[in-house]
Amino acid sequence: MAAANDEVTRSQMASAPSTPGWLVVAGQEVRDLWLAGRGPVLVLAFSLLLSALTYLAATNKELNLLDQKDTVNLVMQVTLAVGVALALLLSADTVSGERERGTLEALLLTPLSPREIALGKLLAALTVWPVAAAVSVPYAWALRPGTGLFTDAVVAEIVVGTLVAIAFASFGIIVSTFASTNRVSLAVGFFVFVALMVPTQLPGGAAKGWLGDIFLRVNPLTAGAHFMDKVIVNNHTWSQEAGWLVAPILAALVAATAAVVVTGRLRLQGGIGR
Amino acid sequence: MRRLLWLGPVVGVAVLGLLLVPGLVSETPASAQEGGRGTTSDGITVSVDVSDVSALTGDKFRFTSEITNDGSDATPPLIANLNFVSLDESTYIDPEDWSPQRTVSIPPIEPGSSATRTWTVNPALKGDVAVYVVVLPDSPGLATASPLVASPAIHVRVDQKRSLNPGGVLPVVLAVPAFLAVAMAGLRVARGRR
Repeated sequence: MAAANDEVTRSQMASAPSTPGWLVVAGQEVRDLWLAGRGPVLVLAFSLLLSALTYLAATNKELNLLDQKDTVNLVMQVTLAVGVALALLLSADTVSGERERGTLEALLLTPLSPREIALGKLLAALTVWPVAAAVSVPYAWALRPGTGLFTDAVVAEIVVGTLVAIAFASFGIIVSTFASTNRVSLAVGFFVFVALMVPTQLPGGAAKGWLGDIFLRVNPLTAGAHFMDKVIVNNHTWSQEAGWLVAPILAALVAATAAVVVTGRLRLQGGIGR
Repeated sequence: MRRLLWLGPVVGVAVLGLLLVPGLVSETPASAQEGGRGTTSDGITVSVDVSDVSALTGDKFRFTSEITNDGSDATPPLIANLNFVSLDESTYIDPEDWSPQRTVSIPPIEPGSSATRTWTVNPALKGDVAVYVVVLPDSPGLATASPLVASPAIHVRVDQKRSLNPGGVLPVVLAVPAFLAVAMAGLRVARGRR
């Protein structure tokens, strides 16, 4: 958030004393992201990606190389990955970005607690996920084989994506709190995301065995992707695959709690133990 | 079963080679339109109801094979396997893409009787492809079996289907980014005026 925006925040707080501080920060950050920032550009780029993917998937479906359910699942899985990655990268920029731009000091001088500031920024970063999910809906509709599957696919995507996005955005803000530079914050966030994402790309046999099964279940990304895969492609019920939602739920709870605790120690300088 | 699946195409290629040598197999397709039959000394013959098919990519077609026991004894349990061979080197064939089910078990066939099977073929890529059915005894009798029997090859000519609007997705594919781009431009203009 720029210094000018910090002044806006202060004036907003003065004019609306009853509004919670985190809500003021969230509102200002959302405006920064969606009216003046990168949000629309990122979503436009994401829609172009989905357009290309959907067109190719539909071509393959016409050649009978892909099942119709697989094409819907493909769009949903890509939306999950990209939406979560965007939430992570935006949140990883929040504190370290302010620190690097020299605007964190002004923000810390407001009457808000560091926790309120962090919570507002976290919520703003998370807004990219519902927008990404909303953009994916027309594509899933265009590829849908039946209304039942379409509804299942969209609901599964929203539930899994929301949980995983909360987990990763919370992780991003934790990293950003400690990182002394934005580059470090983004690099760490991106590396962790890729490391957890890679197993979803492994061929089926490579993730077999008890150790592979445990890893798939513990990793919130692979567990969430597996859940969506089973619900969308294999027509399994939610209760059949509920076990795969444990990791995303736990990850969201643990990461959000850790973010609340850690951001209470938000300081002007980055690093650990200062 | 997995071992037999692996064996099927290998055996099939060998049998197709035999088919190309006149005299080794009793009958070959008589014309471009008719089906033909293959036979062994055991009296098992395999025939197909088509010999030449023209199709577009993605347009499925079906054909029927008939396994006839012309011998004096009942056959052992059999396995029928559908095979694909590219006739031009540029066409890569992944059998899984070309047919969802390529191997079926056939119960013993009594003398003078026959078993029919309808196969579905999905031409996935442009090119010239030979499609044929190989019949072999089920595993207990495989080692001592006489030469396997294959049907005559069906010559499938596949042309590329070109569609600008596959599955009707083109409007959505164009409209969503266009809508977002217009919304983004409108937002910028509105902010610029302020």
